[in-house]
Amino acid sequence: MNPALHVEDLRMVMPSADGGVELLRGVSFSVAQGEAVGIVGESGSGKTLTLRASIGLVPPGASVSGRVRIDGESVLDLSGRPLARLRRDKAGMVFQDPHAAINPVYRVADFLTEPWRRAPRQERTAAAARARQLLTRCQIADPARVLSSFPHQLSGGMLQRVMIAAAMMHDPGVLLADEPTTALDVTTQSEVLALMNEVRAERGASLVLITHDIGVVAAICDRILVMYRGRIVEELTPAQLYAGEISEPYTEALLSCRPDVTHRRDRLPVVAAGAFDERYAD
Amino acid sequence: MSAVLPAGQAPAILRNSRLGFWFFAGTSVALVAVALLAPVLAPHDPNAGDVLQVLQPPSPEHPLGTDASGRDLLSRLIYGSRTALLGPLVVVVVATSTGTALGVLGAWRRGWVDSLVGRVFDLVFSFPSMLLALLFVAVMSPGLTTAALAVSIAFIPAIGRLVRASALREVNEPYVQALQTQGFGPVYICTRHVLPNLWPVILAQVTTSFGYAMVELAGVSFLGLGVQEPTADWGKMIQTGQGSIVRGYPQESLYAGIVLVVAVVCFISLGDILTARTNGRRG
Repeated sequence: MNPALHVEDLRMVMPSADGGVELLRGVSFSVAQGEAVGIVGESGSGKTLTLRASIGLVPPGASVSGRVRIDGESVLDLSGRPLARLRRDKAGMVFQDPHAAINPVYRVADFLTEPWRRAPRQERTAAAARARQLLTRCQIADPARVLSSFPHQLSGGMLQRVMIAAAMMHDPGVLLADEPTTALDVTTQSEVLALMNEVRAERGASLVLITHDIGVVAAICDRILVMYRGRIVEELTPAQLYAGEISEPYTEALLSCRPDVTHRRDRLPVVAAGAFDERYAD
Repeated sequence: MSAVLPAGQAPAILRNSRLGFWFFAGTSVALVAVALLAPVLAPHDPNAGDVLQVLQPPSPEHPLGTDASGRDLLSRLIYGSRTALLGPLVVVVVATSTGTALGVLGAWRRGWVDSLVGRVFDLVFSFPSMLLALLFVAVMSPGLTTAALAVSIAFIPAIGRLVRASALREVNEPYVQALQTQGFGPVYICTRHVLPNLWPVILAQVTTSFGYAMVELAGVSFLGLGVQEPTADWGKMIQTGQGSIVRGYPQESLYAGIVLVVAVVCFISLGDILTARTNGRRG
């Protein structure tokens, strides 16, 4: 069986006056079908770049090398229509801020069924029914009202559920979530995360979840990848994390920066810039 | 565009209030109605002259008098509104569609395409629009269509730059990236998603351009390169009335000038109000 997502030696260089900045320095990982993988790391470590590159979204001007396969198809070799079809059918993406990621001028119903806008009537009706069903599954009490609402009329939590439903409309093999709960308030965060995980697990989709919150990753992911400066420095299971079986000093440092309700500390430590550069140099 | 009229010179009460919007919008709609209903409203055939009735003062028969050919001035003013509105309409349709397409293209593709489009805009911008229009009309043949096309070309950069700037902000919104990840193509995203978000900006610019295009076209007609005799046109009327002014009959040029100024001020002020509204909403 093909892995849902396979990334091998992914490198990305942004050209600059003095030769170029290496944004990704050989990222390799594989996500089995139905598996949930979390990626953690500080800002600028390349988490989002990795996720976007895995569906062929590369910042303008950057040069990419390596291999990315989604369900056996080589993403970086595709362009135009085949790439668009792959993005649509095989991957679903959930963005950080749902209010920014949905065009404000259309209603939720239009947003969910947009890919079927020019499809035959029968398929359109089927898509509308599926949208309603997915919204209900995403614990939206009154799907009819939400479908006829504009994005600004819904709360962040509500709209993120809509976004999850949208990502699942095509029954993708892999769900990519880029800090899906950062824009939400704390009580909604765990609800939305749990929901997203349930919905994708029911349909057998894999999950790649990016977050700053190691606790969240440990709760719902099968594996945790720790990224630092454009590469994966450590791979852990939640069990190892809980047991403190951590081998890399960067991961230790990252963990020590979390607030902890059981120990009172006056000031949270931070990972000093460049503190680990030498250890993780090429 | 040439600064024929300084923008935003309407009295403050009309500029700032809801009243102003309805005043200018109402007058503009009335103008359109007059143009549409010209055959019903005009008391005479605008082109029928009567050599025995030249340069008549106002009378029940001719409410505004007659011109040097004995044609009814009111009828000519009413029919003149047709060319006065049709010309700018052609200009804004051609200039807006071309300018918008080029602006969005530049904003989407960036890189060399954007630079090329930008430099072409600069090039067209660097010529005074009247000069460009005269050049074009001189090479082609005089007439309303040629004049309107010529002025359109001169108007493309203004709208193109505005659309590019607004589109640039829009295409960097996360929702555009989200649409890409959903597998929608660039043309689809631009036409169905980016454009609807640009409408307020485009609409405001269109209304202002309409007013400026009216002045510009009247100018071309005045110079004899736009609308040709005997078709009634305000710019043309100002010109043909010149001869009568020195003979002590200023009415033809005067009336045509007044309606032209009123119409232009209306459209430009309406455009200013719409621009202020879009800015207020976005800023």
